Amino acid sequence: MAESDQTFESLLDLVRRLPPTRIESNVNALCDLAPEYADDLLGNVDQPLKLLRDEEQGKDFLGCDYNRDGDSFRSPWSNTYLPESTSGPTPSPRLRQLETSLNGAFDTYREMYFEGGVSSVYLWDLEDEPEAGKEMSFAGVVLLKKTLSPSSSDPETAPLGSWDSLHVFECHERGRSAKYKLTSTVMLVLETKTLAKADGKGAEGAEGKGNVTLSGSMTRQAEVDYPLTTAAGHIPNIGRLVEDMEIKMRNLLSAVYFGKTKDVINDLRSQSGLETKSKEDLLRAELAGKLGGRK
Amino acid sequence: MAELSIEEKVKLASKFIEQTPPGEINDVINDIRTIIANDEALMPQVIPALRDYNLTQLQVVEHQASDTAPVHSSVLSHAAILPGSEEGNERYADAEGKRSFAFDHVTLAVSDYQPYELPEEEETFRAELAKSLSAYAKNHFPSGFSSVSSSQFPLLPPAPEPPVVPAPVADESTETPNPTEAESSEPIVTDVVEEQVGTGEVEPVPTPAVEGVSTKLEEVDQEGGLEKVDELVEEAKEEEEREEAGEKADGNDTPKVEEDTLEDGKEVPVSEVSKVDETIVEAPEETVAAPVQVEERKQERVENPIYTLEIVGNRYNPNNFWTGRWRTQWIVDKAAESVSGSINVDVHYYEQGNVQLATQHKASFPLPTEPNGSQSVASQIVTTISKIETNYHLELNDVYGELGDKAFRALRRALPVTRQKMDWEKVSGYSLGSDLTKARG
Repeated sequence: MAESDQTFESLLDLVRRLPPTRIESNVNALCDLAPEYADDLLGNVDQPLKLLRDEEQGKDFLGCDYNRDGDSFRSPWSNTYLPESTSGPTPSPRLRQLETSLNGAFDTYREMYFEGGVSSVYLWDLEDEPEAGKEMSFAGVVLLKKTLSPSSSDPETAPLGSWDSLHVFECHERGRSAKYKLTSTVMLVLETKTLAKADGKGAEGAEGKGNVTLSGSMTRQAEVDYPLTTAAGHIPNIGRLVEDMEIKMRNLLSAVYFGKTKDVINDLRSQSGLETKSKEDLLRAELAGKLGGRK
Repeated sequence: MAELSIEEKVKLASKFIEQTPPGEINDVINDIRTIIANDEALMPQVIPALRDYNLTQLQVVEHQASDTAPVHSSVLSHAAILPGSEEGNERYADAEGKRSFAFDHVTLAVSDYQPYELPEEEETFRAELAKSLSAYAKNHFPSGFSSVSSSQFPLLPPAPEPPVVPAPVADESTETPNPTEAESSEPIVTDVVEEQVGTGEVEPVPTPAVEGVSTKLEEVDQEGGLEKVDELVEEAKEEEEREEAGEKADGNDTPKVEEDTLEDGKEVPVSEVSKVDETIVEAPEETVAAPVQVEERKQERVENPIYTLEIVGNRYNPNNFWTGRWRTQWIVDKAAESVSGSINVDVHYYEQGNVQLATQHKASFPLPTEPNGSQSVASQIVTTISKIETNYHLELNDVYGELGDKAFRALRRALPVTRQKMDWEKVSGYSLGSDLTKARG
């Protein structure tokens, strides 16, 4: 068994190292390489959310491993699996009511923070026989996705990007409070072009063009106890939990994407040149100067 | 779904290798080995992928001191493949050490050193480029390595009779001034390269090598130029005294005369090469002899060899979960009269996540055709490269601003327009079914 665990660790280690932009094809390849770990892998590796359409409700929704049954995904709006209807799991009626409310609340949240995009919330029971009036244990996932579409006015240079967040949580009601355990992953891709215009900078006649891609994902966890007096209390509780985490992670992403990787670039290459000021160097410079002067 | 055969698995797994982030090839290989769990089947089959990775990622190879060079390194690349070396038995040029070598792409071991020597014309230009590039790399890449390769066929091994005398001289001259150049370089980009000027002035004019006479003359020129550098470095100290006594260059011995003629030669266009011939008559005989011998040999040649300038800068900090690599490849193509290059920057940050920066940038500029004042063509090329790379570096910093301020904000605001967090009680009040709302009390 130790050997098997090692295989799984190696699969996850590869996912942590290979380019995030190619995660989908890489995870498929890893599933082919180690089919016995395919389910574990798909359950442990977050992939970009699938954008799906619930034609009947006229609304978009998001798909991930948590609302998937075979090739179909359950829509939070109609509670049915699409595009092929399947008999995949659905939440108990009481949980479905909470799910519907949470979808409404996070739709507002999405509009306020993302000003576009799509959101979906899915819940599932953690008990075999959920009963009304009993303390609930359930789990769920809040999904948010926004993609920057290429601007029609400036398709050449406008940056592209996408944000996918998954907030997976477990909730256990305990008397007048509830314990929430949250694992959040944000996948962020940003892409733009470079021109390296050298006009007037001493490299006349030079042309250049390229692109820059910043991509990846970060994962963080949190655990809180919030007061809970009624079933509806889960909505502000989960809402605040997710909101606080996203604010924290947005700052973190900003620090890593725009701070850390930039620092590494400046570690790789010194823009202004490294200082060489030892006496020996000065002497050598003198010598070189004389050599140059004696031509 | 039927399970893949071991061959198919190995093939599939090999595709991960080219995606490996900087400095993590061993981690990726070890992961693949654990997953495949069949080294006998795996290892021989991943060699092509490892070779591609090493050549594309500019693997740095350390070399022990040779007869002509101190301990040094070279950059492995497609351009460093020895022209004429056979597939399957590929050899690579260590231009600085004047050797070619075999390379094991799995163990990264170097073996089977053999002499490698470019024709004088190519070696002179290559060495000039290498010297300028090395100075630029040392000044701008804290852990940078550079190499310049020529696609010209190396000279055949020396005939049993007289060994090619001036070649080792030229070798040393390309080596010895190197530290001097690099360490004396100043932080400003242009200055760095201008310092090359004193040594690398003779530009082989883009005359086809077939024109026997002019080729020979160029070689003579370069021969002298290199030797001059060499000797001057050695003589510099004693000559300082003489210079103190007020003596100037005119009152000096043979190498000085040669210098003067070279100074003229710089300005001489191709059509006037014969004039150079006259002025150079007094050049030391021993330098003239060698190129003639070279000319007599049956030697495989490409008409317009290209020169590939490569820099790789690596920083690996696994303790803090990041690695990075800056790669630069510039191709000097005299026939096309252009210099074209690519810059690739890769950064991996993997503390509780996997964030990667990947940039590709292509650029080109017209090939300088003649020395500009005191600046040689090689030096001009590297100056322009350094300017383009610095502009690119600056642009990357701007890109961060653009992505961070515009794109990131357009994806998700830091706070809603109200500048306040959500009022979840209110929101649930608005959007909830009446049952839940009432129940909340």
